[in-house]
Amino acid sequence: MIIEAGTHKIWQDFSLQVVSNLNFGEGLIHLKGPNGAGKSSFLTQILLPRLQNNPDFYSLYFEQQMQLQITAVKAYASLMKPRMRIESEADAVDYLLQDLLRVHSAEPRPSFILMDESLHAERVRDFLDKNIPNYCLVFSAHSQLFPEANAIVFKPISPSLSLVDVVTD
Amino acid sequence: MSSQIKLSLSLLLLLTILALALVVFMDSLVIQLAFFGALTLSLLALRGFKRWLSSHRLILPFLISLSLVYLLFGILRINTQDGNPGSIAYWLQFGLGRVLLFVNSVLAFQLFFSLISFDELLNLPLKIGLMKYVILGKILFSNAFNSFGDITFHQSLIPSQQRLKQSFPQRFKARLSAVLALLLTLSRESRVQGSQIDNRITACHRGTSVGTGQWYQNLGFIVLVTVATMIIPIPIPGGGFFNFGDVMIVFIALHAGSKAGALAGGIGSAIADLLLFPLFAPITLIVKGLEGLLCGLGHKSSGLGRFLFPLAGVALMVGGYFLGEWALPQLGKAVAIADLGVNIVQGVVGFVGGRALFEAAKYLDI
Repeated sequence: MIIEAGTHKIWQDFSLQVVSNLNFGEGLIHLKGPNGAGKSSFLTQILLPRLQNNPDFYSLYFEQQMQLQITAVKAYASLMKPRMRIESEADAVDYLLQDLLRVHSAEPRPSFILMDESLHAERVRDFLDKNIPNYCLVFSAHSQLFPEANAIVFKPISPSLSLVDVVTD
Repeated sequence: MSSQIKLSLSLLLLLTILALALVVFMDSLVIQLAFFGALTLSLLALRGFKRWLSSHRLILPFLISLSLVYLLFGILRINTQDGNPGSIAYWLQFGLGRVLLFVNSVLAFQLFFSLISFDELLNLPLKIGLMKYVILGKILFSNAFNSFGDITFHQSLIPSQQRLKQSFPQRFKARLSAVLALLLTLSRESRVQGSQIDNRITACHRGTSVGTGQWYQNLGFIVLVTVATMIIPIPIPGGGFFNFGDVMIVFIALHAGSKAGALAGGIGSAIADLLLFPLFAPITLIVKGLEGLLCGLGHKSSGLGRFLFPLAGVALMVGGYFLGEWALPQLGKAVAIADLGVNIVQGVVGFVGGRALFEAAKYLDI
C-alpha cells in the first residue's frame, strides 16, 4: 500500500505534508515525532480509511486507551463464543490476535496492524512473528521499541502543518 | 426565568398546533395543507434547507407505503366511514389528508425541538430529586450517541468481521453485539455517574434521601431503549421502522424484572417516538410498557417461563399496536394493516435477540 506524496488534509486546520511516497509493505514501521505532530491522525485518518472495508487486507488497530475497545470486543466475543471471558486489555488483544489467526488460515491476506502508543506492541509482535507470515506492523512510540524497524518521522512546521518523511541514514 | 417562559410558550405552541391539526381539523384537507405549509416554512427558516431535507429521509418510505395502502383500499373499494364502498378518488383524497396529518405531527415536534434545547430543561426550577433525572439523562444520551460510533468502529475491525462471506445469523449477532457493547457502556456509565450525583446530593442538599441507586439503573435502561430504538431506525414499507428497541425491552425485562421492563419499555420507546414518529407515541407508551411488564414475569421464573413470557410479551406488542392504531382515528385501519407485518418481524427479532442477549449477559457484569 502506498501513501502518495503531497499534502493530506486531516482536520479543518491541520494537514500532513508527505514528502515522498510512503510504501507500506511487509515489516515493522515506527512512527516517530513529538506529541501533537500528527502520528495518531496519520493512523486513524490516512491509513485506517484505506484499510477498512478493503477486501485485500486484514487490519487491526489498537488505541492507547483501550476501554471502549475492550467493551466492544467483550460484547462481540460473548455473543460469538459464550463463556469467553474478556476482562483486561491483554484479553482483548489476545482475542483479536487469535481471531486474526483463524480468519487468516481460512483465507490468507496481508495483514496490517496499527498500534498507537500501545503497551502491547511486544506481545503483538511475538504473536505475529510466530503465526502470521505476511504482516505489516505500524506503531507509534516514543521509545526505540524495535531497533530494526523502518522509521517515519513527523516534524511539526507550524501548529497546522507537519512534515512526514522516511528516515534515510 | 427566560428559559421557563420560552419553554412554556413553545409547549403552548406545540399543544395548540397538535390540538388544531390533529384533533379539531383532522379531516380538513385545506387546513392540513395550510399547517404543512406554515410548519415547513418555519422549519426552513429555523434549521436551514439541508437539515430540513435530512429530517425527511426517515418518514418518506413510510409515507409512500401508506399512500399505496390507501390506493389499495380504493382498488378493493373498501367501505368509507359512512359505510359505502369508497372509490379510488375517495381513498386517495382521504389518504392525502392522513399523510399530511402524519407529516404535520412530525413537523410540529421538530419545530418544538428546534425552539428549545435539552440544556434549557436544566434551567428549570425543578427539585433536585427530579432534576437528577434530567442531568443524568443528558449525560447518558450524549454518551450513548458518542460511544456507539466508536463501538461499531472497533467491531468493524475485528478480523471475523472483515471476511467477505458472512451468514445471516453471524451478521445478526454482530449487530446485536454492538447493542450489547452499548448496554455494557451505558450501564457502567449510569452506575458511575449516578452514584456521583447521589454523593453530591447527600453533601449539598441535606435532608434529601438518595435512595438505593435503583433510580439510575432504571434511567439507564430507559435511555438504552430510546437509543436502541433510534440508532438503527430502518424505515420499513408499511409504516414505523425496524429497530433494536424490542430486543432491548425483552432483555431488560428478563434481566431486571417487570418494573424495569415496563418503565424502560414504555417511557424509553415513547421518547424515541416523540422524536421520530410522534403520532405513535401514546400507543407506544401503553403497549411497550405492557410488553416490558409481561416479558418481565420471566425474570424470576425457571426455564420455560423465560421462553413463554417474552413470547407472550412480543405477541401482546403486535396485537396492541394493531388494535391501538385501528382505534385511533388519526391513524386508522390503513396504518394498522400496513404496520402489522413490520411489527411481527419486530416482535420476532425482539424475542430472538433479547433472549440471545440475556443468555450472553449471564457471564457479563451488567
